[in-house]
Parts: sequence; structure tokens; C-alpha cells
Amino acid sequence: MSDVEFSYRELSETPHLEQVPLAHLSIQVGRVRPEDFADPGRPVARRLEQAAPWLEAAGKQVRDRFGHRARISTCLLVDDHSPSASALKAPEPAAAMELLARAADAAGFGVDYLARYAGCAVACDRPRPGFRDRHPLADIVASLIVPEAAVGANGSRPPTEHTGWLANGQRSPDFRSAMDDPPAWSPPVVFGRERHSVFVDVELWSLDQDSEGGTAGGAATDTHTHPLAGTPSGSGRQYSISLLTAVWHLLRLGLLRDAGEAVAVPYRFAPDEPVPDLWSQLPSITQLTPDPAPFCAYQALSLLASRHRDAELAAGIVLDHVRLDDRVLSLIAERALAEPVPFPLPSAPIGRISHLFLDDFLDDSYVRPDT
Amino acid sequence: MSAPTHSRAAAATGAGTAATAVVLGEVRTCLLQNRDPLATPATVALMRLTPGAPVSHVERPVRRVVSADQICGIDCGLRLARRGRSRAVGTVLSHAITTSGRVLQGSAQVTLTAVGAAERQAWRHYLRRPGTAEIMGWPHPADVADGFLDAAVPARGLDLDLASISDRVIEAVQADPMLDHSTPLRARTSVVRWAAILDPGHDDAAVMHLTKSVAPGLHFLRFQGRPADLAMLDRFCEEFARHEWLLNTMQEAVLDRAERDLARDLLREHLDKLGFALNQLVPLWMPPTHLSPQMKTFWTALEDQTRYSRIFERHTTRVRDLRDQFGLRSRRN
Repeated sequence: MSDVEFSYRELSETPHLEQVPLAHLSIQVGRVRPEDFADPGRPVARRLEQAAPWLEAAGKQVRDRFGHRARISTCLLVDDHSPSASALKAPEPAAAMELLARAADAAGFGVDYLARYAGCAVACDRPRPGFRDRHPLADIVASLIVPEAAVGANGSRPPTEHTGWLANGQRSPDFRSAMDDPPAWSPPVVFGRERHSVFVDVELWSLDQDSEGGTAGGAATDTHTHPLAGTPSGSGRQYSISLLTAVWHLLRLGLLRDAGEAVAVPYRFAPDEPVPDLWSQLPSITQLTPDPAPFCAYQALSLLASRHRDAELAAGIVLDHVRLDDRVLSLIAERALAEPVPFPLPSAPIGRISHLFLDDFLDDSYVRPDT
Repeated sequence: MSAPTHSRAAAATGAGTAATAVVLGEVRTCLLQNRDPLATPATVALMRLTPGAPVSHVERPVRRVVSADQICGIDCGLRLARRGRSRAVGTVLSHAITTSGRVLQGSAQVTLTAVGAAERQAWRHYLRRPGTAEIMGWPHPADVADGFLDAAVPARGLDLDLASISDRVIEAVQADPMLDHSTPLRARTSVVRWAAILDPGHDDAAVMHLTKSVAPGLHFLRFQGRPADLAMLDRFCEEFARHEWLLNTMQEAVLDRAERDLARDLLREHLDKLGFALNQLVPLWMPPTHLSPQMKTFWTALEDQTRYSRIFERHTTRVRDLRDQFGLRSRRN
């Protein structure tokens, strides 16, 4: 009898995983509202002007490290998820894109991609998406969140993920229920802390019917969710900007998949192709420049007005509590090591994101009080 | 969100770099609450427990569709054999498995590693290795394994409760509106509770002890081997659980009841169940000896001592026999 070797396997046993092209660095040059494009371009132009020197510095740093062929892409995020009353003044996307191109020219760089917040809630890869083109990204990321185990959690009860809140520790005990003899207050507990805690409780979503109330508790970091109708999700949840910001960062880092498929792949309008009149009909990511570096990147830098600090802190808490696909994480780490200039990537996604908060000249200008 | 076997093996090998790890698990097996067996696309949809999660499936030798891992945080006591209790913090993984769109299993497991640290760490520390929990202090691995398998004490309580976690996976699937929630057969959920001591320096042959508890439908499996054995072991436990459930269901839920009513001439009520057993349960008997030489060795040893396949064959013959008897009688009438 001769020795033989035989193996049998079915490809569907290990689900397919789509790869995405990766740049070295993705720079978010700002976060604006659609109506900011209406005001003869000033807010957007000022934002880009303000970002320009930092963009140059970041570019230099990356090229010093990875050489002149380092890939850097830029993007601008439009917050069309929580429309305000002035949203009606917003110009149509085609006009906004033109204005953006001029403003970027004036600032001395190109904005490669235009992204929409609502496109982070439900992603689509093409304009005027049909039902089948949509990927419920916010639902997907929400399902990746692993809330911290309460002390004593032994698995008997389901995790309390259904409340729509996520904390970075254990909340203060609720003593309203103790009728006659209220126990003394005890503080929330943040594990693995330094001497003092920074306890944060993040609202991830509200349910559509009670989105009137806003955020009551004092510990809420997210006050951005507007009661006006925003992006609906399949689960009937109104997702908060905190959660969508986490989705946004994960998307930029190329870490999200829908059943193994890449999502929110940038779309480029052909020269004669009409751009939709509605922001909601745009793809999640629109490619604006002809031949940019990939939208997703090993590392991400966000240049933001300081008023967006809370949403970014909250998104960081979310990122600290998501469990990503091991295969996606290891594939990207291996690709970083296989680059012409190899480099190790921080294992946690949060370690791949840098922030720069810039002053908020537009919203908080000092007004001399009348005397 | 990754393929189960991959991440589980990684959790155990990564965790047990130098020290011994203890893996605790529980597999519950029951009938999928649907009148007909589900086809492949429906089963894949059913096993997508969370949006966007990948689902793993193979068609041969029997259709086996596995959900992505669900994850659950714990910070609780561990019962130790012989010397009190300990505390573990981390996460437990669980997944659902359907076989031939007919049998449903919920499987939960956690890899325990000892750390010297006396304080709980930030949560991201535990999320770095999903499916791993750190034991505070340095209990003896055998005490952890034996404490978990101690049949004298019920699983629920303040200590680690894999029963509820594996049960919740099953409940989540059974509650799916895609199912019609009818039960072709009233069959007991069976449980296999297992513990493995995985020592990188374990040079001897792997040791497996399988015990049938006095409680109905409950088995304990204790394993001692190397971290690399885990991938084989958790599959062995799931396969054993399915076969044990099949055998037990065939005997208790089909044969015993039919035989009892045969004497009372009430066999007619069992005709559906006998047919169900022959058409839908019998084809599920498919020992996983093809998976690895080690799996085959253990399965052969199991067969040697218990004659599982022989008993199942005999049950099958008897079921067919009863059905035919009924057929004859009804024709005579």
C-alpha cells in the first residue's frame, strides 16, 4: 500500500473576506454641514484654509517615514445625518462639490473624497441606491459593541446592550428605587484607571418614537442627536453622532465588512453623469479628484473644530468596546508589514487615529456685550 | 465576528504562551422548532445572528452551518474543586450550529488563563483576546477544571454560568420569525459540559474522560492535552453532543414511547414520529472520523466502549420495524 495525501475542504467553511486598497494616511480636513456650502463658501473655505498648514506638516511626516511614494488621501465629512432648520438653505450636492473644489484649490490642496455622515449609518456604493445596495453599517457596528461586564456578571443574564447607552465603567448604583432608607451615594467605577476616574456614558441611539426628549442625564456626552428626523436604520433606531463617528473611523481604517464584503466603496461620477439633487441620494463616499490615494488607510488623522471634541471622545469609547473581525485586523497588520517600508500597526484601532482640534472661529466669535 | 474555529484556537494558543490554560465549555443540543428541515439559504440566514456577521457552512458529509461567535463579558466567581473560589474577568464566546437544518446546538466556551494581577484592567485589555478570561490569583488548573465539572453542584448561581450563555444562543435562534415554531417531536435538550487542561509542556498522550451524569441528558467531558488540541476538542464535544442527543432522542422520544403504546395498540399516534425519525434523524448520524487522526482515535475509542453506532443502528432497525408493523396492521383492518 502506498502512502497518499488527501484533503477535502469547502470554501464556504471560511467565509470570503474582501480586501480594500489602503493608503498610508487618511486625513479628514474637516466636518461641515450641507448648509455651510450656502454661505458663499466662507465656512468651508475658512475650514480648508485653516487645515492647510497641518495637512502639509502631516504629509511631510508621512513622506519622511515612508518615502515619496507614500499614499495620502484627504476627505471632508458632511454632517447630513442630523439636519437642522437651516438645512433647507443647503445647496444641491453638485453645486457644493464645485464650490468645494474651488475652495480646496484656493487652500492649495485637493480634497479627494466627500463623505456623508448619513452614509455611515446606512452605507451605499452608488448614487440613488436601491434596497439591495444598502449596508446597515451602524447596525453592524452596534452589534460589535461588547459592553463592559458588571462586577458579578456570570453570564446568567444578557448584557445590557439594549439600553442604547455605553459606559466606560460601572455606573453609580441607582438608589432612586430604595424607598425609605436611601443608601449613601457611591461613585461610578472605571477599571484600570489612574488614581482618578473619567467616567463617560455615551448615548448610542434613541428609538425613533421617543427621539423628542433629547439627552437628559448630565453625564451625556452626545448632545448632537437632533430631534428632527435623521437617517433611519433598519432597526428603527436613531443613531447618535457618537456612534456614527466610530463607524466613520472604522470605515476609514478599512476595518468594516458586511458579511465579508467591502462597504461604502468610493464612487466617482462620470463627467457626463448627473449628480443627484438630494444629499441623501449620494453614495456614502464620493471620489472628487481623478487619481487619489485610496480612501481607507492604515492610519487616520482628523482635523476638527474643537466643538466636535465630545463626539470624538465618545467615539473613542465606542472604539474601545468593539470587537472587530480577527481576520480583517490580522490581514491589515500583515499588509503593513509587507509594505516597501514595513511598519508595525498598533493592535487597537484607537491607536491608529490621531486628532487635531483647531479653534472654532466660526461658531463662538466673541461679541462685545452691550453696555 | 470571525470563523469560530480560527479565533478559538488563537485564543487558546495565544493565551497559553507559557502557562497552562483551562478551557471550559458547554454544548446544548435540541431540535430546531420548525415543521420541515430548513434548506441551506434559510439556514445561513438563520445563523446570521447579528447583522453583517459571516456564516460558515459545509455541505458534506452532513450540512453544518455555524454562526459567527457571539461574545459576552463576565466578571464572576469560579468554583474551585478542593479549595474555595476564584474570580475571572474577560469574555465568553458562543455560537449556534445547525445540522441538516434540523438539529440546533448552542455552544459556549471560555479560555481561562492565570494572571498575578489583583485588579481588574481596562475593558480593551480583555477585548484584545476575545473568548479569554483572566483568573485572578494562581489556582491549580485541575481545581478549576474539576470545580466546573463538579456534578454535585448546579451550574447556575453566582459562579460562571455557561449554561445560560449557550442557552441564550439557542433561544435567539428559536425565536426567529423565520421558523414556524412547531415541534415534530418532543425531545429533551441534552447538555455536554466540558473542561480541558491545555499544557504546552504536556508530552504524554492526550487523555479524555467522558462521564454520563445521573441527571438525564447530561454528560461531562474532561480533557488533558496540549493547546493545539483545542480545535479538535471543541469540535469533538459538539459532534459527541449531537450524536448523544440523536441516540437519546431515538430511544426516549421515539422508541420507548412507541413500544409502550404498541402494547396498548395505540401505535397509530406514533406513525408520524416514527416516519420523522427515519426520514430526518437517521441521516444525521455521521461520526466525524474524517476530521483529523486524533478525532478518529478518540471516536474509535468511544465506539469501542459504548457501541454508539451499533446501538443507533439497532434503534433504526426497530423504528423501521414498528412502522412496518403498523403499516401491516392498518392494511389488515
